[in-house]
Amino acid sequence: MEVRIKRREKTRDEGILGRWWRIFKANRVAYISLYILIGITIVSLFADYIAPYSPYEFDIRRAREPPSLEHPFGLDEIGRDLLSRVIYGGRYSIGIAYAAVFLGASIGVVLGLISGYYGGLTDDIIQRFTDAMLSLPTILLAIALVTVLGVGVTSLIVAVGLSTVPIYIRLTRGLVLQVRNMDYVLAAKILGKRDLYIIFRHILPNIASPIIVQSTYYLGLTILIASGLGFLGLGVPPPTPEWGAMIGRGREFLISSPHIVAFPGIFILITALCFNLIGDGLRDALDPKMAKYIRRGRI
Amino acid sequence: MKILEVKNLKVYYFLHRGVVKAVDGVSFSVEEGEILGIAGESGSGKSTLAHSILRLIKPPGEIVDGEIIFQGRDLTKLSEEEMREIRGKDISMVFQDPNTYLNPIMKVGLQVAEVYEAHQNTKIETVLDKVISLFKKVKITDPEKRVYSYPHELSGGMKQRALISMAVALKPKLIILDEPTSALDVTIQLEIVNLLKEMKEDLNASMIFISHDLELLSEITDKLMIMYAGKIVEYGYTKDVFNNPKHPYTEALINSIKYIRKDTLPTIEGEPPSLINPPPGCRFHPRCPMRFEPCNRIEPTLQEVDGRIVSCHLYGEER
Repeated sequence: MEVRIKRREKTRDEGILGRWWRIFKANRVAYISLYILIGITIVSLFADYIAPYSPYEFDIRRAREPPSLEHPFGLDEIGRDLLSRVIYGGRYSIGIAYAAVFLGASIGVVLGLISGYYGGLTDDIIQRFTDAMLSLPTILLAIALVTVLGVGVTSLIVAVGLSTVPIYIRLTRGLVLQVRNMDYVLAAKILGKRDLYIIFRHILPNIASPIIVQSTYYLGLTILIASGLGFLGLGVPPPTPEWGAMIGRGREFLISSPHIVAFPGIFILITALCFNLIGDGLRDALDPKMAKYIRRGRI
Repeated sequence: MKILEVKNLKVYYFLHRGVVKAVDGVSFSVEEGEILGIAGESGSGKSTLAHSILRLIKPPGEIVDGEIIFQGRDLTKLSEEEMREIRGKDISMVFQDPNTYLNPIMKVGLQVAEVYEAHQNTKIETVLDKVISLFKKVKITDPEKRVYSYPHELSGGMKQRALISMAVALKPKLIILDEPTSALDVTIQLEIVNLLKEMKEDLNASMIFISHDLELLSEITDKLMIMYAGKIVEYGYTKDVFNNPKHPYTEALINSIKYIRKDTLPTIEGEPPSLINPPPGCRFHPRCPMRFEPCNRIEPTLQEVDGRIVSCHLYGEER
């Protein structure tokens, strides 16, 4: 009994962030994923200090050498250190994912807010545009965009980012439609508050959590899309160490030297999986309906 | 001096099933410093009327005809931005349910401060003192702390006080009260009504008080307007209308509260009519105990009887 009382007192003064963190932590898988991801991010950020060799220096005589103590991940198809390339590659793959999701979310959420709030003709125009974009699969859309924009890190970010825009528009618009007719939005209007304030101060904060959760899933997805484009040779140009591109160039040696493909592949898998699992944890933590489990003392 | 004059206002909702004539040719005026009460059953057009004064009717609804003259300007002809400047500053509103009219994830003080920001282009941080003194005025306990509270941390009465403080912040000329006490406990209702009266004296504002509670309206309003199916049935000084109702509907409404201590509660037979296909003639005739021959054919016109306006054939030439 005493334990339970203590627990209740604890929940009272921790604040909303503390509560979210506690629910998130209760999801062990998400919690571990977060640390793995933080680890990968730190390692790629400090690649200059951590990577044992340069990612560009090659020794063609030792090409495709399997993993050894000297080169833990082995050497790639032209004899570059694979561990260093994977470490530097994280910068590109994860960096591109963050930038693309940020770009896609910024454009998509703003358009979705406008579309949902104003309705009428504005809504129709934005939605028909969204329909057109949604009629292509995300990866095809990204391929089409990258073809138009050319090859390079920036165009990859723009292409992947824009390809996520339509889904953000749809998601945001749906959420706005739920909140738009709430009494407090009407009250804000009746008291003469400006539309922009109503949209960004009253509506957006009320629909933020599903968008945050969706963005986390999207980080995982954009890593896959960016790698997919890299694999097809539409990503960053060589010799830039990007995970997808590394797999793409290593695939000829899949049978004879599987390590060239395996290591970047494993990291793509781990990173995308971590983002998805963190998304699950966030979804639970940000869901107000989880409150009932807390009250029962389960978390 | 007339502060608001509504002339022949018609607000229709165009639905697939047909046209809902929610407000159908209503005319009235509000004098400076006057409290006008509007009573009627649910669906009689009271709230639509209030919202159309602020021009907040959303499609499929539309103001199809009439004028709303506020301080010499016809509100139906203003642009959306001119209307926004009037909302909250010259005409404001107190709402029915304080639990849903406050944004749940925004601090109360900030929501009040936004009203100043919207109309005076002041930064939110600089109006905190104003908000605190406003909270003191509406008798919110511990105002310095309460401005940082979220709505869920306040009681229903406190939330309604916060909403009232938003409505009176910019000293409006006209305050519309849309059933401000319906969602509150009886004990708190009285406090809120007293506070509203105090605010009205303080600001010398006019009020439109919409309520189901006839007894309350009879106590605080100067004039009383009874609506039925989107039309005025009786409109005049409260003491006349309440003590000596002329329209059978008004009489039935008042009877239903006057005899509340008796064993059987007097009720009005039947239901409010459909506003898509209102009954021909007088809209109240199917439920009227006094109906006679022309009631189901000819629509009665508004006429003056004993110093008030009544819409009933009992006082017309057909009798």
